[in-house]
Amino acid sequence: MRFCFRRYLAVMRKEFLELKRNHIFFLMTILAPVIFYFLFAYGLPLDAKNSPMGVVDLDKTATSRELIDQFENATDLFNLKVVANDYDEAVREMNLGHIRVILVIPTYYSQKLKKGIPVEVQVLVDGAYPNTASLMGGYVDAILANYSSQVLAKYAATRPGYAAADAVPIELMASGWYNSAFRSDDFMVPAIIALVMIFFPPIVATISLAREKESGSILNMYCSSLSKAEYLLGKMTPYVLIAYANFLLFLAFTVFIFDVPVRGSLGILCFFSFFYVASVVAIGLFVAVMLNSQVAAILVTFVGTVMPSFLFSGFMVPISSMEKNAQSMSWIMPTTFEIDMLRKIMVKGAGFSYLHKDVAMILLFCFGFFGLSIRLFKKRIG
Amino acid sequence: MGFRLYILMRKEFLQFFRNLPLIIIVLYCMTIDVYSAGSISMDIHDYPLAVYDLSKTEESRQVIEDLREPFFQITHVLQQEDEIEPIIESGAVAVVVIFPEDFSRKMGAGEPAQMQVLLDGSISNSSELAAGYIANIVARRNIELMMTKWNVTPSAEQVVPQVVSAKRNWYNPNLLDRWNFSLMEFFVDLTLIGILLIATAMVNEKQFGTIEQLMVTPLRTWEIMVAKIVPMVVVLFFASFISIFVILVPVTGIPFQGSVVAFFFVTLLYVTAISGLGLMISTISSNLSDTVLFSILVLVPIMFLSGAFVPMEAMPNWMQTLVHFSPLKYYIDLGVGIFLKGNSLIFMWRELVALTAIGAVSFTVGALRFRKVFR
Repeated sequence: MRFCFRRYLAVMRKEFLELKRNHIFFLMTILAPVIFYFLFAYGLPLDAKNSPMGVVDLDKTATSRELIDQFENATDLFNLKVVANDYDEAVREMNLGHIRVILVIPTYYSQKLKKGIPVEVQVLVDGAYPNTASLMGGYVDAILANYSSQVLAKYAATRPGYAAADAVPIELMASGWYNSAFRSDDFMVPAIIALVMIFFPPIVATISLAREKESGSILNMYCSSLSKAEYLLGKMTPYVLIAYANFLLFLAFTVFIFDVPVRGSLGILCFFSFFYVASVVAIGLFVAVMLNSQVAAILVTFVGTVMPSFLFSGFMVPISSMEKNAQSMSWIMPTTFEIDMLRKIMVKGAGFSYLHKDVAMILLFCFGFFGLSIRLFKKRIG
Repeated sequence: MGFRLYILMRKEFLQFFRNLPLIIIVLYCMTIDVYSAGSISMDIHDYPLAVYDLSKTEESRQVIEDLREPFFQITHVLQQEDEIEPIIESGAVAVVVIFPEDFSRKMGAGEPAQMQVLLDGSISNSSELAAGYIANIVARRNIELMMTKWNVTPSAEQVVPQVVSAKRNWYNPNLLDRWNFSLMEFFVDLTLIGILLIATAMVNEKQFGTIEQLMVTPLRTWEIMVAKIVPMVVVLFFASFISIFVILVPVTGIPFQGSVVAFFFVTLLYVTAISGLGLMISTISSNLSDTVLFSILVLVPIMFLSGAFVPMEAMPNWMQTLVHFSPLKYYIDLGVGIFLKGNSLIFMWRELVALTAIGAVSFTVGALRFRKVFR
């Protein structure tokens, strides 16, 4: 049967009307995605800034105070919340989760340094959030190493026979490309656009078909002159359009609220993201074509798309640092490639030549899932 | 009265154990899902690194040698400057270390020798970790270099003042992301299936029309409610038992530090608290698919406002205020406190009071709604 555009438009209109009259759908397609976007974007900052810190100063001298100052002067990194007199008090605060790092300056700290003996400073880090702990531990070590080299330089200068301690041998000049302050927002928020899109459009698409199957209203379609392609594409078009409008809205939020730059071509990003949005709708459609029960379809879509996208799409961890199994998991969903494209275009300003793989995979998912759905959809009972 | 309550509860248990898909979902969430959530690690190991060494001297090679293990692996040795941009832009490596030509000459002359590190800021978290590791490696090398230069190398006869960091990570000594992610997934999944099971138990009756039969029995509304909740709480209780003693402790390898009894007491309290949410959802949804949708809609805010993924202090202030209303926050504080930190319950009385208060409110509201709708 030939694809008739008029019939396609008629299905699409019917679907739009149905959507307009269903409150839950309105909630799911417009309100909830916006709320989720903000929850994700504000709720997942990965940087460890202003970590609450406690100090147990058992030495209580000017020298120990100098060390504490090193931490207080490290603006944005630590927030000196508790200055405890004894160890137990600080430990109690850490057990309650009120502070994340404890610095313990031992007794005789200043005397030992004066005599020229190395001193161990105890640092206790709350490992309950491992990523935050690694970042905080890195800052603490850097501050202490820096301070230690100052102590060493001072000591060397006082000894007879040595020229004034000259400069630090190796000067490290680290610079971050594309995002010099290592802002977590630049890393996370573009990816969150792709992630929110995997939440709702597939589930809504699944419901729209699964419901007709379950209630039996799909029989009307079986005995009409509609072709499979006209029906399925017509049914999905409203969801693709609404999801795409959501996408553009989130892109605007990301740029204007979270100050993420768009260094590359906005045209390429918007053009190919349309196919990503279509591909996530197609995944929902595919599940609904394969399963007959609404609840099963929703749960399979949720467990099959949302959960793996969270873990394996490179959303929190770059794919290159995942284990081999997890790396292969990342290939089975379009989100991986959309996230990569968003980051490359927005933050890196990469040109099209760096995007071949992403674009090819997104197109493959989009046409593959629509093709499979149309192919496997049966226009008969039983 | 006690007898008819028992009969209805038995019916609920029977119904649950005959619903194979539901059992599969509960088991999947509490076992495979909890386990696989722990399979990603945010820390960097064998992180690809490129070296562009213009100096090609003993000194630069020494630093490169230091960089090798265990955080980095040198995947690219660059020969030309224009190779740098493409490998960062394509994402092949995220760290490029550059030694200028005058690196060792300056070091010999007592001037600071510059070592340049370029990092891909678009993957901010890993790059920041990488920057931290490199900074520490260089700082250690610097101290060694200074000691040799000033001839103050520590030995048997000579001690040198130094401030040495003796760092220890508590609760998770090797900072395994696996512990954190799997444990948090357990808390989140328990919330999801908790809300879902209690809501579906009621909506099932609605959808299949058997609610009419329940209404004409001599059972009172509160009896129906109790008979619906208690079996599901028992199921959740056993599901969490399986999750902890089959997956989290033996497979994921998290040591259970505190009191098991206290942990399950808190779990019971929490499940009762969220059953109020399940009741509320059951009153506003008329079929199962709405129930699933509403459950997801309720779950995600509770989850993101709980500190399950990042510590609370990293969030913006307005969000921190909202966190105080999420029951999951207190359950995680208590659960992690007992499980990982080995705290006693008395010590965390504030969290316990808060969880009880939120639970009481949500349960009362749920029960009132329930009475209004089903009578």
